[in-house]
Amino acid sequence: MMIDPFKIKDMYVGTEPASLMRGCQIDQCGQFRLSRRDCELHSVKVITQGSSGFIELSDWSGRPLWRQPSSFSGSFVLGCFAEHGLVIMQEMAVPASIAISWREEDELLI
Amino acid sequence: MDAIDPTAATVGVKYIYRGDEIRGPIHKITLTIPKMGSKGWVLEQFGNYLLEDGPGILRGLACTHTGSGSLELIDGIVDEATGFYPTDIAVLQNHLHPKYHACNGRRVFFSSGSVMGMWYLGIGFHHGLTLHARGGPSAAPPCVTIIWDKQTIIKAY
Repeated sequence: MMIDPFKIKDMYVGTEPASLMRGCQIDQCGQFRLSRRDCELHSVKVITQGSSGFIELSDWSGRPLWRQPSSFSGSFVLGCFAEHGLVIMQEMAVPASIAISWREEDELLI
Repeated sequence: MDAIDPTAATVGVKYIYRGDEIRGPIHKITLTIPKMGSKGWVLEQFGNYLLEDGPGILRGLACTHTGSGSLELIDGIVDEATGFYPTDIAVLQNHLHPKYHACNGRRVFFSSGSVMGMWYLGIGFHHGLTLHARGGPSAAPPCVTIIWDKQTIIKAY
């Protein structure tokens, strides 16, 4: 599946003040903007591997933070800084099931 | 066996692994100071990279594609004028030397070839963090996220 690089879907995920961590699971191809401000990419878990494609997480400036050129299942705890936002792009013939967690500075839903 | 340039005995060591010298420029990676979390950078091409030019902590590596070749992280900064790590070879070659930990050019991580998975390290570096990703028989480089922190706390002891 070829994805449109200009078509980014926004996802809004809430949190609780206790941890400030947010998490979601993505099971389809496309580009999704998970966060719209500075955040920390805590971890990426590839639960079910896909096939024939790649997964990439980058910040809003386009700098890649994590990339999987061929899909395999596993857990990656990164803890790296994402500037101005966090975007995941999944381009696969059979999409992988990916769980991502990240942390923002407060509980506001922006 | 690593070959050492005997003429460099007093000025430092040109890092050589199995006869392959470090060739090409050293690319400096400059990232913004993170508001939260650590610095992360994805290696996607072979080459030599200066990731940090001061003390810090190498948090870990997330290798998602092995590619070919080797991956080496060194606590040190190459003197670009000479192409050497300015260090005392006698100390660098002796892992039991009491000053070994502070050597400029000390290897902190090496894998040939790189192995897929999440590698937590938590290794401190004194001088800086230099990455050498050397090519293997195929032209496919590894895909690795490297995570590190620059030390910002000055120890009082």
